[in-house]
Amino acid sequence: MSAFIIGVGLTQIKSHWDADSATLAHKAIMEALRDANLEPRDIEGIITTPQGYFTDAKDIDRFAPQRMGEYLNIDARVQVAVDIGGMSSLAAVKYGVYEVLLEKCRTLLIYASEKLVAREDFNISRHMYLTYLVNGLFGPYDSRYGVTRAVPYYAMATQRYMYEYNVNKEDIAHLPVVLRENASLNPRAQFREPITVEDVLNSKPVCPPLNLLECCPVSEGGAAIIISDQSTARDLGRDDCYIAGIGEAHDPTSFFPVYQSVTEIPSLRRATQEALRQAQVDLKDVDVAEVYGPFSGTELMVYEELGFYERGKAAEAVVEGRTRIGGDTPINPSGGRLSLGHPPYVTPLAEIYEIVTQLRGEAGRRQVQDAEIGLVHAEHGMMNGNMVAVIKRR
Amino acid sequence: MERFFQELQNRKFKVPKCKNCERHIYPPRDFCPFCSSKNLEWVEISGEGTLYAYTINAGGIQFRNETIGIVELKEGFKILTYIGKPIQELKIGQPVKLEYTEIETQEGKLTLHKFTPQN
Repeated sequence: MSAFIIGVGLTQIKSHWDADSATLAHKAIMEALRDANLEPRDIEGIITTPQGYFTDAKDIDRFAPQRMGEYLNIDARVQVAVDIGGMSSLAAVKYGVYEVLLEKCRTLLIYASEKLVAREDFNISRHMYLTYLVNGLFGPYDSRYGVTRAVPYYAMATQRYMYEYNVNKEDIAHLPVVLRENASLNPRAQFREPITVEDVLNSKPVCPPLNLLECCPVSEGGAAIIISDQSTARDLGRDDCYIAGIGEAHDPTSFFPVYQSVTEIPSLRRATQEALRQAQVDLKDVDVAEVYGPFSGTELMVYEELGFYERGKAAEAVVEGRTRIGGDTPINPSGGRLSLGHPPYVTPLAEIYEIVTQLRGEAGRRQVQDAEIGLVHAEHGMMNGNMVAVIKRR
Repeated sequence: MERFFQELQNRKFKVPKCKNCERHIYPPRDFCPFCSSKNLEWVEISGEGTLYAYTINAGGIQFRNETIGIVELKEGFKILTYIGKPIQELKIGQPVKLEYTEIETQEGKLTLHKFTPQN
């Protein structure tokens, strides 16, 4: 498979009080175009996600891809928004790869941006759609119990994981510390002040056993990538990084699994195997990974289901420094969701931005030495569906 | 789906059971997701189970900051429910028993299931 990533763009991840969703998208798109050495007119297709997971309904433009086409002034062959929760922008990339492989488009723009409802405007009755959005996932059986956020579910999964594998809270608390260390080297990260294990353990309890510093922030930002066929990439001198494999799998669950374990993620295993097989690489060949870990305990489960560590052993590996930059396999050198920040629709593209930056050797002080094979992971719901992509340097 | 809540209003926790493979089906469906049989009957559950996981529902709307949990029922499926004791008194794996609780909603009283540990 050969769809090349010829341009990447990412805004600062933070609270952008001064920018709307479209402005954040434009910033990232212009950076990606400059990076690819392309003019807006050279783009043949636009694939995006809805405008922000937590964007106010009145600010949502359901024809956003069409407006982007007008803004760029292109005669597009495809314009579409793809939505499947947190993995949407990676699903958008898969759609784009199909367009390239079917020879429908030579160059495609894939972008996402995230802008929250302003706190002063937030009103639970006026924003019932947000409650529905979350409860729509949880289902009417759970919403009667008033669960309107994902945190309680992740908290219970973490509690169960600690119980089943005898993992202690102190070891888990090392993960946010390592991620923050990476973020301190990333100028685009939301949180860059170093923290200690004590800081994590003493931070405010959110939902037991999760403390504040073990939870991702809900962030704002924009990201864009440009993909192309090989000959276009070659002409632009940008035929260095390509998508070698994509795996996607979904479990028959919606949030916590009624019939399966909450500490196992079968779809992640399936998606990983599919991506690695297609890319013709072994997991041990992966040099650097960016994974979607919205909470500390869950991120450790992701490391294990990807196959980096045995079940219950990831926390130990983190404590030993094996996931740090310079360790066996650095994971989330960007700072990850906890410290880079987590704008849900943007996150998979932000992960690709980091991996491409690493594979090109342009990651500066957080550079993973001789990185040639990178892995990107995204999920939706509470790990109910998973996508994995393998990106290689030629 | 509506029937489940109608039964609950009468303090009956009922779910469809497959007459072919004998599994209990939750959330309720009109076919068996395991063996595809359409031969189902609604049965009342035993009300016995074990505590699988629990937390405090910080930021919730109903039951704000109350204890919620996942209970694994004897019938072989897990449900999210309200737990009738503070988390300091809870332990994973302890037996719990079905009770009911009523909440006020805009549409009037609503009866919901809750589970409480046995001493």
